[in-house]
Amino acid sequence: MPKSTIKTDLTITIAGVEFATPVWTASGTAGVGEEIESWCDPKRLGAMVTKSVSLQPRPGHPYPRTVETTGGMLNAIGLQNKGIEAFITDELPRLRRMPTRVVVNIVGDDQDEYVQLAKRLSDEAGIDLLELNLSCPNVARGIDQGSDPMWVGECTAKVRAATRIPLIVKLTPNTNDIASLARAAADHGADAISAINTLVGMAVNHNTFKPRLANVTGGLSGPAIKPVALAAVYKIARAVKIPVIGIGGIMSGTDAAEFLLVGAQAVQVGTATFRHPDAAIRVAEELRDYMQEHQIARVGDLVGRLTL
Amino acid sequence: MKQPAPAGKLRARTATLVSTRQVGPNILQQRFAEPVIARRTQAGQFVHLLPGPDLLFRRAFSVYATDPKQGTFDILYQVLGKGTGALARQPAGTAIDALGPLGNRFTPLPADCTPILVAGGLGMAPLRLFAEELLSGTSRRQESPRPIMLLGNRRKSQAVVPFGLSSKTLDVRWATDDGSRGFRGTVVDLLSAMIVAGDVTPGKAHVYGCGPEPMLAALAVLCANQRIPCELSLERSMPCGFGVCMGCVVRGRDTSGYETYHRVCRDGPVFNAASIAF
Repeated sequence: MPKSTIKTDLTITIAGVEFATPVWTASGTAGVGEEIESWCDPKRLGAMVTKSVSLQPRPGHPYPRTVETTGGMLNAIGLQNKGIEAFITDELPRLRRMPTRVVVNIVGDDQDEYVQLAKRLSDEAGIDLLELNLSCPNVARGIDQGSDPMWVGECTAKVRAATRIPLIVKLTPNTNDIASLARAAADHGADAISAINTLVGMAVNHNTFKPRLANVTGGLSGPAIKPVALAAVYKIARAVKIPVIGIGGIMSGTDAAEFLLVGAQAVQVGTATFRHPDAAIRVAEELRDYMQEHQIARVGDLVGRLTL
Repeated sequence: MKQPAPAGKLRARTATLVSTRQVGPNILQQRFAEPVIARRTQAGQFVHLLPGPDLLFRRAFSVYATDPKQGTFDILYQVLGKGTGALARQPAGTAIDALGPLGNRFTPLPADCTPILVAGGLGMAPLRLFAEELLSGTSRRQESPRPIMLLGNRRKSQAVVPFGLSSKTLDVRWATDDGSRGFRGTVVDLLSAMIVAGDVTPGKAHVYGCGPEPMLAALAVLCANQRIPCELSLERSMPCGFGVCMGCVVRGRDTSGYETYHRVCRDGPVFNAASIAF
């Protein structure tokens, strides 16, 4: 029997901010907006999440920085960026004009750097949320700090005290207990949790006896990590009351729906954007088709609907 | 070397595989029908093709030839890995998801300069398109000196003859490592010998290079020493191809001389040789 066409509503509110769709770009996969804007209409993105911005410019790691693996990719970019001041001067004015929500992802070497970055960005208009990258696997202390619940709690509290911009804390899966990291962030003032960052991985060229990445190890992303990400989001959503944003190998609308079912309120599309520059928009449209098929009017009605 | 401005919103296109022709050992020339890419591509630019549904990422190919009237473009590649393998096996008529043209182009040169196109192996591909542009006059005034193309290969069996160019209008010279075709030595050795012999006047020449990185590094040194302006087209593994992943970098210098990493896909693939730190 043909189903009736219903009106679908993809809007979602997180930390008091309304988003046109629950499908955002993921940090490090959409640059700082300039390139992605040529390929997709920003109005149709839930949010534009920037590549990590640090206090000082970072050159990044030598080439090769990426390698395709079975069902995924490894990357070791090394947080190449021009630093906060150049970001504010060169990139933020354009980001501000983009007709979408702007999430600025920040990364520091220590807690004080996160605080300084948050303070500096608090002076600037047009930033809807900050995302704290407490989980980069490709820099010296990224994981050590980010997998320690006490450090995550302290860092979140200090940044919380330094800014009024809503905070998302992005967590690493390179830990034996991601739920306790989420709890630490939630207990110290985070408005939302995003998970997961990449998994530490490595690829070897058996002909040359060399690692395939100049940095030797890198972060694994793409469809290969989706099951890991779903389990992490499922655990986090049961551990905290604040919204969870799911990340990890989302290539399609049904992938996004699966993250919503296990408790995510929004998702970020990363590696898929490298394949199709407008992937985040495609995923949102496919999610709408999925809702139509399942006669679900509001996207929020999917959140946590997993039946055990 | 400014990138051509994007003409409005960019989008992926569907390129239909027209033909696959073997032109050397494991070397294929493929023709695709896609009128916009055929019309817009300028020499040095590339297309980013999804070789098949099972691969996560696209593969970047310099455009080798275009036929704007027929609405086709050609690529030239050696079958090496999963991506090129998948593309090589596609039958004619297959629809390939394509981004392009991407990246910047070789810079048209001053009218009184001799363009010298220095190709190592299949680095010949973008230079062939540039040679065609030079000969048709779109990148150069008609009275300019005759372009020279130097083609280097390990041995004669690997040498691919540039498609559709006439040696009447283009001065083509060959070099092979073993001397089995033309000059014995590398193309950079050949260029060096031509300078010594007075065949090339450094103040009146402009070099364009594409090929393996050690060859390009040697070419950059030679041109710097001889004060010959030199542009190089670089190759990298490229996940995204449009500037967001930061994967395809090359170490270089910015306009102030500071070390930085350029993105080959977006800041290049054509660079002033002086801006690259090999």
